[in-house]
Amino acid sequence: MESMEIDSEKVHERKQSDYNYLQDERFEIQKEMYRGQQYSQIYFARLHLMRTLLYSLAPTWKPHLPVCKVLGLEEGKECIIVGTLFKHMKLKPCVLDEYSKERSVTPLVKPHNFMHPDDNLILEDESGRVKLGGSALSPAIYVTGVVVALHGKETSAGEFFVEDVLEAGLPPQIERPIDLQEDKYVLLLSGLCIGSKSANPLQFQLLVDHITGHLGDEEEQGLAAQIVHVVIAGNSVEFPRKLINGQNLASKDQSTLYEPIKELDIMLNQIAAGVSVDIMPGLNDPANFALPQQPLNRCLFPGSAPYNTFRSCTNPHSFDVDNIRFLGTSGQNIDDLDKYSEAESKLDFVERTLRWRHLAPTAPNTLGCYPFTDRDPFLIETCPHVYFVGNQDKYDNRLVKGSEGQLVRLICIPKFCDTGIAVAVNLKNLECHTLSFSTQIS
Amino acid sequence: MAGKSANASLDEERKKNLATKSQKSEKMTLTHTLNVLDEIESLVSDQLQVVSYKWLSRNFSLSSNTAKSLLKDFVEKHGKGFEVVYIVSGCLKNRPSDYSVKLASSTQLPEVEKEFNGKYSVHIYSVQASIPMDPAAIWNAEFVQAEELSRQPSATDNCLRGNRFCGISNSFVKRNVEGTTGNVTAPRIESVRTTVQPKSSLDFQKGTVLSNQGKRANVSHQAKSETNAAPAQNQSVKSSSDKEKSFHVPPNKKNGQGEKSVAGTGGSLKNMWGRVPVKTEDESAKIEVKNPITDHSDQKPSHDADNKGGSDDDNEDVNFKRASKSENRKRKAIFDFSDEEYEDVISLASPSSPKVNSRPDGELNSEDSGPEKPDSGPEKTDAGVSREVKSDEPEVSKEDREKTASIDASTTLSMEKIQTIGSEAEVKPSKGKITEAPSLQKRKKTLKTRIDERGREVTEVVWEETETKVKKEDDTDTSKKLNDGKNANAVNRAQKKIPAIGNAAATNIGGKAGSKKGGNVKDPKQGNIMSFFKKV
Repeated sequence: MESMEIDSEKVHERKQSDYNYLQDERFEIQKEMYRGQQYSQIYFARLHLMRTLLYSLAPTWKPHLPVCKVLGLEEGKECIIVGTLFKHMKLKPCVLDEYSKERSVTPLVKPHNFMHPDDNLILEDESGRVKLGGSALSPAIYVTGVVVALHGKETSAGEFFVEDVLEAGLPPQIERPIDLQEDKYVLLLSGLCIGSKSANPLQFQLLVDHITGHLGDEEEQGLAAQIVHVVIAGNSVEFPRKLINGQNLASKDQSTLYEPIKELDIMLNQIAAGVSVDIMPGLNDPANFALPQQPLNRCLFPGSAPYNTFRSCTNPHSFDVDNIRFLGTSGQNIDDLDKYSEAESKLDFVERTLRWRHLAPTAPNTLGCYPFTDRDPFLIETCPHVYFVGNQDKYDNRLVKGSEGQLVRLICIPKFCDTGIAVAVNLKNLECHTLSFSTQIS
Repeated sequence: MAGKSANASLDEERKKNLATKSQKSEKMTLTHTLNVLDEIESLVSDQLQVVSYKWLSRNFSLSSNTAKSLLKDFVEKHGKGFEVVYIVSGCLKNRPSDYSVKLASSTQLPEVEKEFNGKYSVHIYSVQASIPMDPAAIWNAEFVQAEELSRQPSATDNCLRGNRFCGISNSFVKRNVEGTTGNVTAPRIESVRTTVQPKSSLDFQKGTVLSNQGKRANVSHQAKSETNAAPAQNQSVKSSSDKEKSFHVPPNKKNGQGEKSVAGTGGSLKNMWGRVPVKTEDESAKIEVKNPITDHSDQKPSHDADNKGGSDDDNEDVNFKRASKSENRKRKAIFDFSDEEYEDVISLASPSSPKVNSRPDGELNSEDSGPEKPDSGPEKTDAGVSREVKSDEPEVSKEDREKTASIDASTTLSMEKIQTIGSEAEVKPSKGKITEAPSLQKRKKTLKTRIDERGREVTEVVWEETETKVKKEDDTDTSKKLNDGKNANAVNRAQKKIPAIGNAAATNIGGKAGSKKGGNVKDPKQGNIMSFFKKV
């Protein structure tokens, strides 16, 4: 058997690439001080920054029109106003409903999407707010927290009749390096849900075996050697929630509680031993709830943490591989948009956030968020080359072109536990393909 | 499979190869092969275990490709009694750009293979007595093996940790264990290449470095202050400066150098959390602690007025640390105490502080000025002492005034601290000589608690003759008092202030009743974080 001659075994050398995640610093909250502040400051920071930007764009958009504040509106005068949108939603759950007298009327099952035909939009800035009318601005598309510039005029009814909308548009993008000769892949996956009933550990093991180069023949292993980076975008574990009820746990319960994390650690150990890996927290992970979620504690991963290839990252996460900028979240921002607006596909939401230049416009309104005082870390200042969102229902991707030549690949990463699909992005040309793993043996 | 004769001839070749080449664990003689195959058979039929190629490779230290062909041999030899699971990987016909991996039983294999187009690979995934209902059960044996490997002590490099037996090697992966850097790739397995040093082309460390930014004076301080030795303290102070400077140094480097012994339990605890110690070890670096410390607000000592809601975690940690120093050694692993070393320093620093004060404005070359002091030591009459001290008084009060400016407070106090460190360094060398230390030690320390003018409870450390103010919270009060105190008080305060800091710390450690810094916290704004920890 020729395979017995070990010398002929080819061993591939994994490709290397430059990596840094300096931009993640803005998502860290260790330096933040909580002095009891509320959320007005983050809104103000957002408005301030976006307004400066929109004011600079307004002259090119509609040069002849004056720009004024909400309180400066005069009836019949056409002008441009810039402010934050607020969407008044009838069905939006309000905490006061719990205390209303007519408790029984409140439906027990909340609808997944809170939209209603009667929803209307209001524009706010620090001077005042004005109701918006007209059909140029569809309440179904917009959500609270988006900063836009509106062209229109005040009607006699006191509404602002909108004729045109200016969104911030795609931010400027750093030129993508064009000299990448070889195929190098970044692997994106999310929703491993280790510990849940639907997770198949064999499936994940096959993926790990592929990444590390155990699976397949030499040629396949050569393909796997082209993977330079792996990102796990959230929801890697799922704890049995019924155990977490405030009672002391029996020791056998304790072991069921940490089993998923232990398993995840062993798998991550296998990956980290071979390739650079980032892990981001998600909704179900043992991290904080409010965005930006802080990195999972390294002590959860005693096996993997010693590796220089293992990185625990924030959610959202932004990093550069070979000067290709990636930006992504574990999905909470898009899922929240899904609840308060509608679109044909999830990628539409993703594209909208990019055009609004804000990762999570619904934060802090309906999405938990830290009350930053001097900045809004979710503003997208530089356009990424790849923008990914994890924990979606199905895989999807789209290439978006900006007005200044920006090119962004939008990716929806499906949940691995349900679909067995991971996404690989080729750094050379921003193309992506899937890797799917099936363990059906009938 | 060729007949036995072919095997025999192969075997001869192999034996020759063995003679000429260096011994490699994967060289398999025919007998060895047969042994393995027999073992597989017994595992599968007697113990009903699922033998996957990966399990096999790890168990017998073979590369996974070897293991795959071994399973192939096994199936060809014994095939009938067992179930085989194949794995087909490649691109599907209907989705040519996507990579797909599928498992298939031997009956399904032909159909599954039809779905693939072009070049695809098939190999055996596992052999077992029967295919379980839940495919995940196939994974169990392998996972149990992996768990075993992961349970081995962290310092051991094994095939799980070392990325062995696979087809892709990565020389840039490094695993940091207990302060030593080990290359992940093991030298003896040829399928994984070993190279020596990491290239720094990868900015892996940037992230780690950045994430520690908020906690400046952390890891290396932890390592240092386990001992009370002055040399260690000097080093620790040094290393605090070095740490600031060598911030960009990847934590994986600089391991196993001098500081390891100092690290002691702190080091191992640190590594329990997987944190990589930034060991900064230039022994020759001079202490220029002033500069780095002025940069870092998180090195403020506890008795700074920072607790007025403006402090960050480090301060609070420092504060309660003073109160319960010994208990919180363990906590160093969790909290990054910037002032650990100062505590130790301070506790030693005592009566030879006058020497400290005569040093002009906190300029620190403690090693340099240190030796000068003992020279003046022997003349330890009170006159001498007071002479030195008097000259320091203006400086001290200047320092106090500076203290009121909260921004500069850290500077001043840290300078004082450094002076303390210096003094402590002096204590050591001067211990051999007859210095004023013994005479000063005759003074007794007592605690006195009173209510000051702002209604705060203040605990003071009182020496025999004079009072020393230990201020925990109120800068302005202290400064006022210091400024309008009597001369004697001022003198002694000046003289005692720095050791008093230490004494206060010692006091706190001693009198931990309330475990509040100085026991004077009635103000709810002040950190009650210590009450949280006092249960420890």
